[in-house]
Amino acid sequence: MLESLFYCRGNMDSLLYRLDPRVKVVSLVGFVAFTSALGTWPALLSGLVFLLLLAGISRISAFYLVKRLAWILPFGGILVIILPFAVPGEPLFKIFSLNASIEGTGQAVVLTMRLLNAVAALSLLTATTGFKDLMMAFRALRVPQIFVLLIEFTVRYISVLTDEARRMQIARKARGFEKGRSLLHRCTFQVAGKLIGILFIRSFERSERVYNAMLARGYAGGVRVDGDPRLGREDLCWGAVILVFAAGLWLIEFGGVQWPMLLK
Amino acid sequence: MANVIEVENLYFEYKDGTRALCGLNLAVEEGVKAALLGPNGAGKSTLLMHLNGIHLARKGKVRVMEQEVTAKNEKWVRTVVGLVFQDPDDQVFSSTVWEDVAFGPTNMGLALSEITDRVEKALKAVRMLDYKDKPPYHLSYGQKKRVAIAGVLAMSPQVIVLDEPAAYLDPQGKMELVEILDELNRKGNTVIVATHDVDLAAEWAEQVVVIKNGRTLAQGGASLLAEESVIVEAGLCFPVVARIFQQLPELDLTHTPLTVAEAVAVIRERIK
Ligand SMILES: Nc1ncnc2c1ncn2[C@@H]1O[C@H](COP(=O)(O)OP(=O)(O)OP(=O)(O)O)[C@@H](O)[C@H]1O
Ligand SMILES: [Mg+2]
Repeated sequence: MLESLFYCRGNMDSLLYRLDPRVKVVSLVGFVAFTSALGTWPALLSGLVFLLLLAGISRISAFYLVKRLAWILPFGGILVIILPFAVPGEPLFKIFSLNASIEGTGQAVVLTMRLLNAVAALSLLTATTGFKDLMMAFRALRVPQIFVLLIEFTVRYISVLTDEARRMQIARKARGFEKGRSLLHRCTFQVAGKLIGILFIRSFERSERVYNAMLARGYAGGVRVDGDPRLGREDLCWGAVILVFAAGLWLIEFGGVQWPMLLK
Repeated sequence: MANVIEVENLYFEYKDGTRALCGLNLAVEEGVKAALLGPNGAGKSTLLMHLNGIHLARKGKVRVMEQEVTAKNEKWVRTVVGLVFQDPDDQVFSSTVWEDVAFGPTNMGLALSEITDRVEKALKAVRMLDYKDKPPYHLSYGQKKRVAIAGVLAMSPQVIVLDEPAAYLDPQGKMELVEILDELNRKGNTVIVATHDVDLAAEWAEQVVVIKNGRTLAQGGASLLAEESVIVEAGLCFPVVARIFQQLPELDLTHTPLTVAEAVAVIRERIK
């Protein structure tokens, strides 16, 4: 679980991996903030291309990125399908008796691209930053302690829960429990019900033991380790490049510059 | 020598009402190798949790280096007494082996270079340095156990307490563990090991404490392990070496050898 969320993959020596986590957090979160405020597709497309370039230089595998972006489908997908029909306006095409409007289609495109930008930027962050570094960056950036702890424990306990579930599943299988049968099968259903109950009790008790073990090693709500209090010039430059690019897109759009004119 | 750890009349009850400790007494001298023996459910793990302030005494007293363990000094106690848990799955939770071993030193607020240094040494000591970037849950149980031990070694506590450290280790691993513990002991650390392994205790320990049902049955030198009353009462068995010599009453020994070295000495003398 942890590994799929925060696991460094790709070339550890490339650009984004080497960037100071604090710079990465600020610049990429900033990037998301600016691009979410964009309202035209060319601007959003530029943002996306920029992120892909970053991913390219950092040698993050395309397969990984696509897998991450696929997460959007269930959330954004429905909206994108509905929007063209829900927003009134000039008809673009017709399915059965439903009119898809140009305005609605435009909105759907913009929405999808905003989502793509946000998810891609955050994927770059999590793909190139270890979980510990990320938490440390949050602490260094003075994110309130309670939020950092909440994230830390959520992630830690998700793996406690899945680990426990896996152990129970194996133990069940070893003694001949078949899960292939329909859930409506009385015995299967009963076993499944009990298991979920026990899973939560077991996970609860284990999380208590895990916490005890953390205390035993001197855990006291996490320490701020000032490994490198000073940021390197290169770090700052790259952070600035990312932020300035997004801010620039936003300014251009905000300033009412006509894209078609720029493109001519 | 002074006692590093003193437990006086300690009682402990779990939330569900299980009485795990019922008036336990214990004293461990500074710089010794001590073994804590007892059958399943005797209260060994529960006792060990008291030694580094995870459980605080509600009735009775626990003293570490002559200071009573309380909520006020529990943080200090945890830097003095390092505890390796019985189940490595409870202890090892980070996303990589390296991060997990660095967890303790990081909590101690050490400098980055010092942390790196300690983690590397600790991983080397348990022969897990090659696995430093692996996620711990993909390791075998014995490997996880080694990582758990490294996690505490890296904190270099004065007193190191291990709950069933040898369980799940392969024979070679067990011998290496004993060497690591001896090495720590030579440097002046007190080492306390909870185990059912009487052979390990007989070979290794200078001081032996036997507990049962949350009470101390006996306390003394390793020779305790040849005493029938203690062994039977505690549901343990004699060390293998002792069992052999018990079958040979014709040798007419004044005391039963417990370790391989003692046995060899006795035999060598007889065949001369
Ligand atoms: N979390 C818990 N809640 C309730 N009872 C517990 C809990 N943990 C342990 N016990 C009970 O406390 C008693 C002592 O348990 P403890 O784990 O200390 O034994 P132990 O000597 O370490 O045994 P083992 O050799 O099997 O590790 C047992 O009767 C056990 O059932
Ligand atoms: Mg135990």
